[in-house]
Amino acid sequence: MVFSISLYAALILLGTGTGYKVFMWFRSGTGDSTESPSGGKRIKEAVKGIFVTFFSFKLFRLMKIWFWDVFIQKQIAREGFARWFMHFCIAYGFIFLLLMHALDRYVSQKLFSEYFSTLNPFLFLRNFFGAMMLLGLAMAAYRRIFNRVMRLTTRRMDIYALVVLALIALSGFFLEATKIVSHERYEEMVSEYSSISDEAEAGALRAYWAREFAVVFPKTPSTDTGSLSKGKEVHTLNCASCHSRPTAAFISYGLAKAISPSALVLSQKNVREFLRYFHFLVCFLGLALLPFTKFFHVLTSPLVLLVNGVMDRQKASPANVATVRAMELDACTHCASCSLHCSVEPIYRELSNITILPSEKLAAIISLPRLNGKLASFLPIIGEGNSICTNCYRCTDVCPVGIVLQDQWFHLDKDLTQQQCPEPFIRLRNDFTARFDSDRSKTLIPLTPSGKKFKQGVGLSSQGASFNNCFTCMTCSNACPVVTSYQYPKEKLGLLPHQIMYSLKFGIQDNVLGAGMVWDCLGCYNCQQNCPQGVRVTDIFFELKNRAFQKTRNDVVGLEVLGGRS
Amino acid sequence: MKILLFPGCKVPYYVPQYETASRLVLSKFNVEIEDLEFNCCGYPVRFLDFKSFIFSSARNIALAGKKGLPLVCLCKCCYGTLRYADLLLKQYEDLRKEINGLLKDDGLHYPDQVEIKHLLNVFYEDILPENIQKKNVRSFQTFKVAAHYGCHILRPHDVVHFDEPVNPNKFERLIEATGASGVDWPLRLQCCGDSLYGKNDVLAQELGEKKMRSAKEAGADLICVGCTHCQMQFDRIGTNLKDKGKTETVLPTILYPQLLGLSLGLEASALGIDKDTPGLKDLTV
Repeated sequence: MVFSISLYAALILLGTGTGYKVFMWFRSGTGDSTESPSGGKRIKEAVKGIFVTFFSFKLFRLMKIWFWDVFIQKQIAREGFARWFMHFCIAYGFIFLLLMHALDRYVSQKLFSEYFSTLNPFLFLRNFFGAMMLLGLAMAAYRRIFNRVMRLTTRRMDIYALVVLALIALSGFFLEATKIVSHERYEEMVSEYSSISDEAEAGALRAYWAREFAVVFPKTPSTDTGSLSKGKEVHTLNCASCHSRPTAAFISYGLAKAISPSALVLSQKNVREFLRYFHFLVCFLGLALLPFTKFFHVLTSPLVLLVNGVMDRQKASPANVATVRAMELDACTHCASCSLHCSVEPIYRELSNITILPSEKLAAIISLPRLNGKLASFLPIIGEGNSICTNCYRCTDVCPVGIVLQDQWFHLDKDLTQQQCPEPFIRLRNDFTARFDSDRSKTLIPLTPSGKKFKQGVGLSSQGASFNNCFTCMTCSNACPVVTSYQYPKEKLGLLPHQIMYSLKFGIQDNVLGAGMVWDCLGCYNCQQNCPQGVRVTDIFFELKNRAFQKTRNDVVGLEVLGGRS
Repeated sequence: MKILLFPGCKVPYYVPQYETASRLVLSKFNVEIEDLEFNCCGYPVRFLDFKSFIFSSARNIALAGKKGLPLVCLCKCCYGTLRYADLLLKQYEDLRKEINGLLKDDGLHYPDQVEIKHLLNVFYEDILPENIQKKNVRSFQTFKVAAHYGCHILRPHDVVHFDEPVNPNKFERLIEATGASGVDWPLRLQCCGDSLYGKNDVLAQELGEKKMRSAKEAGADLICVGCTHCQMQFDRIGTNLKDKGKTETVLPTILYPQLLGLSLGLEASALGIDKDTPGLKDLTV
């Protein structure tokens, strides 16, 4: 009764949650929202798209993807055999347990007329699949603990998924072990299935089961060969046809042996019942929460693999592309393959902005709609993370569920621009050039400029304060392709390269960061190459921008909230 | 000769023909290529954060050091950046110590010696122009090719090494080795303008157009580049000019390994050359 109610409750929650999630695929707009059409149009387009696909040669491609990517999971194997094996163990261990064991009434009994959960090979297979799952889970846990990037990116959801599956498997094993040793369960079975009436027969069977089936009785039955062979006879007649020896359940049997000293205490009904409730309820909980947890990928990842396998984004209707982009956010398994291969991962280690890593950037995109009030402080962080991306497409290439991550980044970029949150370079340039003081005649410059500290603190990128050697010959400014492309360069650039070098020489640094020249520098090294005094003009420009970045970066707060560590 | 190829971030998706052509041509000169999964060279963050740039470069150099093979860049910005980081890390012990601390997490260590080269260095110094000439099966002499040097193979000269920075001629010699004729043009050493794309698009476009015009006025039939960013920039300039209806001012661009491949008698399609590009068609016949 309790189980039926909770199972139906779980199924209702599962259905509603999935419905809600699917509904949101057609609602939520990632990317430039002006381009995302309304929900109704998107559903219409999706139906049309599916219809057209099913009645075309693309159907064969879908079948191929289904076999290789969904069934065999070939794309995980690209990450190495261990990764594939790990996921295979968890996924197929679970699926086989679900079909053979949990749904035995609908699957196993229908397929095998002689099915009995206590008979081999089922008795053995249940343990085998459970062991497979545990092995996979152990590998996953190992990976998340000992790999640096994995440790960094592991979130509560990843731990939840591993723990729930481990609890299901372990509670199952323990439940089976307590059943094996339980003399109460034994008596139940005897009265239910056997036709023993004779006390001598009953004693002999007890003796046999105590020895061969690891049942622990309150009163240890006799172990003489006479009663054992008699017990065997009784067993063959009454039990053997539907109960194999539990040794086939190799893990549960081992556990049963291990707990047998305390079996009588455990065998009291409530421990067994507790385990039974626990095992079922954890399963139902996982089922009920499935649409809102990592387990949702079981449904969404194959879907995204199939859709992206046949969809040409250049030709597809924008409505469908928007829907798939929303769908992809639900398909991410947070496996961190993208972050493991990310070309700019080393930059994360210096800047400590976790959204540099693709898996975490996607997690941030997923959480954006929920951030509402806090959005303003998060956007610059995500903006910085996204701006570091070099668009190398490696994340997209390696994603085992086929998410077109690069497209997500392009749309994030559009979104950020729309929300007035430009990338760091543009933000810095705008902020600093707005403060440029073009009429210095009105500014009081102290006689002892405050630049001493600046000069001493000049970093390595400018190779010391080489600007000290500047004698303003203007070679740098004349060699600069940016300067020479303007008719009135001073108006456009504020200060010219030689003026910036000379300002720095005198420690007057308050105005240099505001000079457009610093921000329009190509980094072509023409100035530096031609300087007769060895001033590292281009490097100094780089350094100035670095300083501007550091200055404003300290203002950005909330890194830790998104999981960044400093 | 065995090398480690450093394609850089932009090549695989934006300029894949550069890598295809390079691999094919290098194999014809018995250069063996090994591949590693490198990370970004650090060039794109140089304006943001010094340490990020240094560590990115250092990690690549350390990977190459572990293999003990020369690192060959396709992109000149990667090349300049890696060379610069290498120089600074050799010069400053404190910096090296700090970076080594980070490299340790990956089981790496900053190596004593790694050769960092650009693809053109390999052609000029290891393969040699005269050997290129020997393999030449086609003559492009009627084609005037403008050598676009690219900034970071010449400047700053105390960091990078290919040719004399003020009056170089090695790239022209490499072009002539394929049988084509070089052109002297005023803006050959100037920046293509790509680095300002996304930061100041107007200026980026103007600088690129100016270069294209300069080459055209000097009588060039096409521009030859040896850098990912330069190629992307000239492609962009060409597209923008066509959009503006100024098709006649567009000069086609070819990557050096593509030009060399054609001279070796390789198929245009195998080198990733689009025969329909105006101006490239005659070259591929």
